[in-house]
Amino acid sequence: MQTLADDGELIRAAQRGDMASLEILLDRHHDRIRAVCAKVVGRGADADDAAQMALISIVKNLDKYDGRAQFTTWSYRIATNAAIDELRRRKRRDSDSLDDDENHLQVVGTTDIGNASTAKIVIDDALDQLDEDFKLPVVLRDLCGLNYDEIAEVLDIAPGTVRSRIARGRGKLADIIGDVGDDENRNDVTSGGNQSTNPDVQGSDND
Amino acid sequence: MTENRYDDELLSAIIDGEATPESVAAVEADPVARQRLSDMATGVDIVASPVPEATPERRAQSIAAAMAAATPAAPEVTSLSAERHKRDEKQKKSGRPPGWLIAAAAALLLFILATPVLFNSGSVDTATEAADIAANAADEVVEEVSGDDGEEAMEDEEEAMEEEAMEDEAAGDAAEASGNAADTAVIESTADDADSAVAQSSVDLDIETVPSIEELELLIDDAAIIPELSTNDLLAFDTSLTRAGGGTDEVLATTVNEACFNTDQTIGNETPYSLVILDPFAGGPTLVLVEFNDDGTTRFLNAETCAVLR
Repeated sequence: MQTLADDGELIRAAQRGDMASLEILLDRHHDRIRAVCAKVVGRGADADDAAQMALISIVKNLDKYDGRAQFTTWSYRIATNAAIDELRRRKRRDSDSLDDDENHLQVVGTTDIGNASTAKIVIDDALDQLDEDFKLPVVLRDLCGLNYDEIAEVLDIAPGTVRSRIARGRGKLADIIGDVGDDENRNDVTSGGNQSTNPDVQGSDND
Repeated sequence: MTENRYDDELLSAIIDGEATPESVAAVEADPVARQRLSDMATGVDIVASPVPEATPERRAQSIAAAMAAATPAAPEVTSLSAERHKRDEKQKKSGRPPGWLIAAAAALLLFILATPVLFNSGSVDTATEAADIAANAADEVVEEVSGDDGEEAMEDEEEAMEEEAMEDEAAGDAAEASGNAADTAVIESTADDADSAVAQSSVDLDIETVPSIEELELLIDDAAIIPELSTNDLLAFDTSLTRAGGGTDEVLATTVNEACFNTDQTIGNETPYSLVILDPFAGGPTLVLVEFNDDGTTRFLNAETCAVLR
């Protein structure tokens, strides 16, 4: 039995000024939005800032949301924009020190890579080294589970470009992992599709 | 498969389950391609791995900040010091008169405002006394509202206090707070002292000594009661202020007529409107909407009828 209103109901109520519905909506989507921001900006504190800006942007633009796109897709667009803005603010702050481990993206759990600490450093560096053009589609695909068409909609680029950028972004990550990883402990991969292993992040159903 | 073993688009397609079984089999048969695919898949898994959660406090803070952004009609009050700076620059260019002259204009204007009441009074005292009362009232207005009494040393401190007050208002109901406070400053000081004058004097005043347009404009520029507010604030301005006198209350202010706003003007932080209450043009105190246009011109409108006063 579904006891909670779906997103559509919450959005419509929020657009009518129902603050309680708006708060439920924000609470429901915060973790998903923050996860995207965290992957893109790479640092916890900055991810929180970016997520907050994304939520504010959602609130301020909610009256413009017309329901043609899924709310998750629409909010991913806002989240990625907020994350990019945060990255640019960080560059301007000129305090891009990477020696604060607490603020680094931590990779835990699902990856059976031989040396976890090495993997953590690797992925921090790898994601940081990826250009935004490649990082965003990779994150939207592999973290959020969006399909190519949805990513194209979020990023406002052609699906073919999405496919190419995802391949190049994954290739770049593979280059870095291949350089430092433990070959003997790497996973074998079989075909059958990519599944997000992050419970906080759910893609659309039509993937 | 040798020629395709580093074709990342093919490997990526395999990861996404979009490659043909033949392609998959070919890659798996090639150790180098298989290793590349494995590295790529490891990257995918790492990207898909969970991120550390935000602390409950930070999470709540983000949501609260967003909820605050949804608060309707959040007042947007322009920094008074910034406004003063702009006016100072304008003054330098135009060679406008010093603050004491503005204060004098304020005194004169309030004197005029008190005139109808004075005319209606039956008791008589001296013209000098009435003028002194009105001038004192004007001093209070100038000091309370504009902070511009001509003494530069005082001005900075008063500006800081005003700015702080304005920021406080921005956190709450700025329109009503600043509007009422400012109105009260004008109306109460005018009315109370004028009523005192009524009680004790009736004078033969020279009603022709109405301030010139230029003087009034300077007064409004320098003693703007409410700096720039959003249109929502202005529309919420419904003080229905009254001035006690003659046994009945006289309504001095009314709600701003939405039709008065120029829809071409930017709404928000750049909202180019201000409100003043004094309006000798219309023969009595009314609410005046001041519109600052992009070309630097200023229009004064009757905020109720939208009639252009200036």
